[in-house]
Amino acid sequence: MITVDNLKKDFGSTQVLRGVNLNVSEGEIFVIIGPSGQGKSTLLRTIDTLEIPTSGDIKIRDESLYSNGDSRHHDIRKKIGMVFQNPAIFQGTVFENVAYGLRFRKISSRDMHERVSQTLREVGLEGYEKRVARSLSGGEKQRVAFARTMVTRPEIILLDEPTSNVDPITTEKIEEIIHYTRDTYNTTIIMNTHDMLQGQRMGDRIGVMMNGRIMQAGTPKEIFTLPANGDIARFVGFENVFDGEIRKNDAGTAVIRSGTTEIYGETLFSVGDTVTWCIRTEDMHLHMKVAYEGHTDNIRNHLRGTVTGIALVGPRHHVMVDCGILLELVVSWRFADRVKVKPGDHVRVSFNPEAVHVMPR
Amino acid sequence: MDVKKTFIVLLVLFSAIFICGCTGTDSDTATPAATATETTAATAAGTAAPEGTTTAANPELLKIATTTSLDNTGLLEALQERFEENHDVTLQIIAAGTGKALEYGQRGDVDVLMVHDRAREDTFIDEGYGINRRGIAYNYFMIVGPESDPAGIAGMTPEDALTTIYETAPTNADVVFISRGDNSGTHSKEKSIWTSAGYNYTADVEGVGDWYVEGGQGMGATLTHANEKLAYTLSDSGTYLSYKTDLDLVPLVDEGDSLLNVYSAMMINPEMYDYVNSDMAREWINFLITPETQEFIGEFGVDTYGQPLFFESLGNYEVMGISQAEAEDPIPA
Amino acid sequence: MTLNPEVYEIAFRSIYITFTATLIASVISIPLALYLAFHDFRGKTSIVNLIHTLYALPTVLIGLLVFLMLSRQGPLGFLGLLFTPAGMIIGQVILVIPILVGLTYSAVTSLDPIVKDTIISLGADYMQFLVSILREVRFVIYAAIAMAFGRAISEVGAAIIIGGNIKGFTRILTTAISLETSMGNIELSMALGIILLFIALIVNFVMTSIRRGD
Repeated sequence: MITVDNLKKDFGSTQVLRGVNLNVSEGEIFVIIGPSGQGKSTLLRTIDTLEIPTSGDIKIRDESLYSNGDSRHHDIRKKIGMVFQNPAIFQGTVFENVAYGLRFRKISSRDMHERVSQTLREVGLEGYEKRVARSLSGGEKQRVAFARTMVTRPEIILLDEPTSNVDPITTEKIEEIIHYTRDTYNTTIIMNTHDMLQGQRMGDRIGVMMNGRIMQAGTPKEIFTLPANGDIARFVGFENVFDGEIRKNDAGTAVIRSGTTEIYGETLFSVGDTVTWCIRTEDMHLHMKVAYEGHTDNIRNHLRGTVTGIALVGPRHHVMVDCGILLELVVSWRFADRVKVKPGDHVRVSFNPEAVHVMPR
Repeated sequence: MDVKKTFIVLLVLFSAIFICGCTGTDSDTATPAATATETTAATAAGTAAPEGTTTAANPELLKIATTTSLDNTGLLEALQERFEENHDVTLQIIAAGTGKALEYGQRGDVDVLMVHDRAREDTFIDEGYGINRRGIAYNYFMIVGPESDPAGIAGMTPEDALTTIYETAPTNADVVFISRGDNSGTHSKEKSIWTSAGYNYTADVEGVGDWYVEGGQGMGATLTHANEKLAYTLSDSGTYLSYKTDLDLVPLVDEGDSLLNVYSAMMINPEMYDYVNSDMAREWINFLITPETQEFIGEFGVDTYGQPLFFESLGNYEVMGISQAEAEDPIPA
Repeated sequence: MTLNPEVYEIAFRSIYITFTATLIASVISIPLALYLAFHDFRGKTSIVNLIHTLYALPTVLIGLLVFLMLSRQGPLGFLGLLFTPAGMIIGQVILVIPILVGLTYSAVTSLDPIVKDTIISLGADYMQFLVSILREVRFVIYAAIAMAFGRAISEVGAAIIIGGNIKGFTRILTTAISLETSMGNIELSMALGIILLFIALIVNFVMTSIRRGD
């Protein structure tokens, strides 16, 4: 449906998009996550023809937006809708706002009224037609902006951080509207968010955008468990990310050395490769007994270290342990209370090599 | 919605008026083709005067630039009514003072001048801009001032009066003279009296002190101004009389050859500007010197002011110092 | 108050001339302002600064300029527009164009860029885009038109130089007031002045109700 091909965009001497490649299928909700200022908005604006790329192309159903100059924009444009982070509400009533795009398409007055009413119902603003749009609350305004875009039945909807300025209840409502739109109209949706969890909730697939590129695209599970590099790993919530080098590899179980510490991890990298590896906090175990008593399980990583800090995060304790590398792991409140772990304690950290995710550096 | 419709209607109206305005302007003026040929003609003729670049004169209009005194007294309006009764014409009267009127004439912006400054008229005619001058009326200038007459000029000759004002004003704050200061015929007259009294106007009089005020307005406004300040000023008798009821000023000096005030009408030379409405201009001037009109001029204002504002030129050419022909002979076609 | 038909004729002529001038100036100024707002070219900043300076253009200067243009010896003398209402309209058009262009330009350029993006996003073609932009700033434009009308109808310097204050032809409220005052007819001047004030009030009222009605 949408193909972005080596898209580059400079603003003066600043390269904002540095070669974006992306494929989005029809009816897919594709969520772009990434830190602020990495080009997410610019990418959407370029797909929306609000920005002209410096080089590269975008194809909508094999129709090129940029290879033929500007001439075809308006035809393709009418298939695309966009909702902005801070919606611009026009003067006049809710009806006039929602009908705006229909007027551009010269829809008859009767159809216009029907479609506006229907769309207002779909976004939960039934009967709001005659309200003065600018007097609505922020959440209602964002829903008017959604209705205004949806009512034209675009094949593609671009959403630029649509919930970053609204309350949690409106966020939930808007997420419902997004799913409803896709499910009902098979609309292809690309959505930007800096909220990873929203990305996980909404996305059929997620693209991680960093430094003006889509660094990785995949299902939420792939993104959150198998990040493609250290930066993505850190962004999607891995606290423990380390550089290392493969010292041995025995049929997929490798010894990785990071500084003076060696761990086992499952990977196909060869001896001598420099890698980045990571592990989630909840995949490690804390033992107050330093000595390893030789259980029969396959947990092969046992690192001794000293507790350097404890932080309370919600119902859990995050415990910092210096094992040569600084590991952060999570223990339950009850466990922490029972063992009375405190800074300075000598402890042991164990984890399964399967939990170690190894990436190229 | 109503507002929106109104807005759209206005927008359509905008465009309609604008488009009509454009075409209207075009049809008012020459057709493009005519303009082009005329421009070529002008270039070929190579003359300085823009005689080619023009349109045919509009026969329904006669533009008259006039001294304010003829207009402010209401005489011209009365004459206009009489003339328009018998002619298919609209007079457009631009009251501007003799200096400005001569400027309009020199630029070819009007068809007829009605002015009262013999010396400058002569120059204007010599330069070829004006032809067929006829003296149409006369009266006298007068120096008017407050009844208290702080400078004590009552009954003096005009030259002595100005000299006295000039000498007493620096020491007597009540003595103020308001000059037209606008290069009008009246202003010219004032300057010539200063000159014959022995002063160099630009060196000695202009800007000499706070007591010499250059008002820069028409005759009526200058009289009103003088009345407010209880000042002296030079006025033609016609305007003074027509304003008299609203004024506390009285005539103090009204005798002397130099106070003669001759009004003339003349055509703009069609050889200079071929678009001027010479036919109607000639008819207008000839109308002014007919015995009937002359009688009307001589009686104008008598019923209102108890005395005439102007004297007819018919039979008075000697008093006016012009030839009989200039006073009485109709302009031949 | 004088019930003199001439007074009404003068008032009507004032309104007619200024109304026409304001309309023509709007038709010229609004597209001009849009052009300035949406195109970049060398010297644009200077032009915008110049327009702001011209807000305070002395009216007699416009009068003189238009007089020299329209006088028979001037470049546009062949049109025969000196001492005509059309000439006065030209003067007033020149007088108010800077106000209309300047205020419209400021309104359009200070519009939230998201508004422009949204209009494009909703599928507007170029004309629809421009019309929508104007729709968003229409109250500013109404106010600018009212202001322009007020400036033009109350102007005297240019009107007297260009129009010549010809009775029944180019005499308008302001030039009549000027003349009647100089002739000592203070009462008539007052009557004309009250009419002028009344027109200004009506224009203001109409603009306010358009705004409220929306």
